[in-house]
Amino acid sequence: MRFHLKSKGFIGPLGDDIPSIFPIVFAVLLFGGTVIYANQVISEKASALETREGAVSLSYLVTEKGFLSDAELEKICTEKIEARAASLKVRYLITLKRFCDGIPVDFTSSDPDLNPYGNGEKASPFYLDTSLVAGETWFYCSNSEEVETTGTGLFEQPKQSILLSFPVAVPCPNYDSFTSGLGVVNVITWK
Amino acid sequence: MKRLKKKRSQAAISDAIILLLVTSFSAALIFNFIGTWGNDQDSVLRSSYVLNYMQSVSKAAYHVDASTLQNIGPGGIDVYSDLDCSQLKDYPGTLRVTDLLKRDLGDSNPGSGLPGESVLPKLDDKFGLDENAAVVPGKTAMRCAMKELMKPFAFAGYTYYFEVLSLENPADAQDGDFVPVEGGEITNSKSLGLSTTGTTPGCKGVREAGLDVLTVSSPFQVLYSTTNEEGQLDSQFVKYKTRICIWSSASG
Repeated sequence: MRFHLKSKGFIGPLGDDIPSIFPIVFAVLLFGGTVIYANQVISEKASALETREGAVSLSYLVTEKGFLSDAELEKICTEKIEARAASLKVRYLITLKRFCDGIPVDFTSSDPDLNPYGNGEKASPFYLDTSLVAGETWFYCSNSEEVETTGTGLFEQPKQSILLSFPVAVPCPNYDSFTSGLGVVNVITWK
Repeated sequence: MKRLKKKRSQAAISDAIILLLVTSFSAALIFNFIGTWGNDQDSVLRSSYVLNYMQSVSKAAYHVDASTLQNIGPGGIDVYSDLDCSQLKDYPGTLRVTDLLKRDLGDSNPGSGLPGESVLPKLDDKFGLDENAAVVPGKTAMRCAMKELMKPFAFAGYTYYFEVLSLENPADAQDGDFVPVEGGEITNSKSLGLSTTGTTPGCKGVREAGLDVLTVSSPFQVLYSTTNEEGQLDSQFVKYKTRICIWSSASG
């Protein structure tokens, strides 16, 4: 068999396969890229699910009772939360706030119906403090070094963190009152 | 032989194109998979949060003292325009919201079978069945508490309803008998008349309307006391349950 150079479409035994290389390479790149992207997406979703599962799990420990004081929260954090968070491999910040005059829904608002305290960021779930004033953070606990570094003030919300808030009864109108009023405990978790 | 040589490159390209089509189809399947992966788990975790929140509301209501709610106002919201929490200042000390609610319900015993006594009570801020009934703002206290406790969800677009159901020989064996409400109901729903006769009231009505409802119930015992013929005090616990249901306002 001789190769006839004038035959249409006939380049050579290897040359005939050159056009098919492009769709093959494209197919391989498409499949590889899809697998890598899928792995990345699933990894991110799994991490988000673990963070949310951690928040839900820790919140069950914190909301066992309908009443919470600073001493009780400290005890729960030390005896239960730390160990549970370590097993779930999540970092947490739990803040307890006394909202005796009503629960704010927008701490940045000056409208008393949205924030009865008018104290701005101090009503935020991320504000770190041990204040005896209603509307501010009464107590907080955390296993994060970043929280320790922040000290008193607004803790910057970590990326892909989960915030769950729950109502509890707390001493009102003062921190040492025998009567109980409205309060909120916030559970924040992140990886 | 010439024809065979011409078709050689066509066979290679056809194979390559088929490979590309199969790969594209596989990529589409993978994208579809990752688009739905984890959605069920996420939905369960979000529902767990909502249920835990509602359970926390029920627990908190058992501890919150009524007098601490005296400063709660309507907040410019229409459904609370008739809400007067300032009257709770007259109930100082450790008198809780649920204590007042029990007093509001403690003026009858629906399971006794005795005439005049065996009637379903009403949430009417009164203790007594006649015009001489004492004022006991149990319904108002619970309304003030629920307004604040459910505020985060209300502002997020959810509607809630709080109801009491009698479990004493109920006509509705599955849910219990709905305790009717006089005046403003314990809800942020603008659909007034949820407890109007002729329509299914409360959470059951919302469920029958086909809405996606989450419900939390808790047992609630009320002490009912009366004096017998010999003038001795006769007390017994009457079984009720409280129920909080929540649904997305967007769905109805």
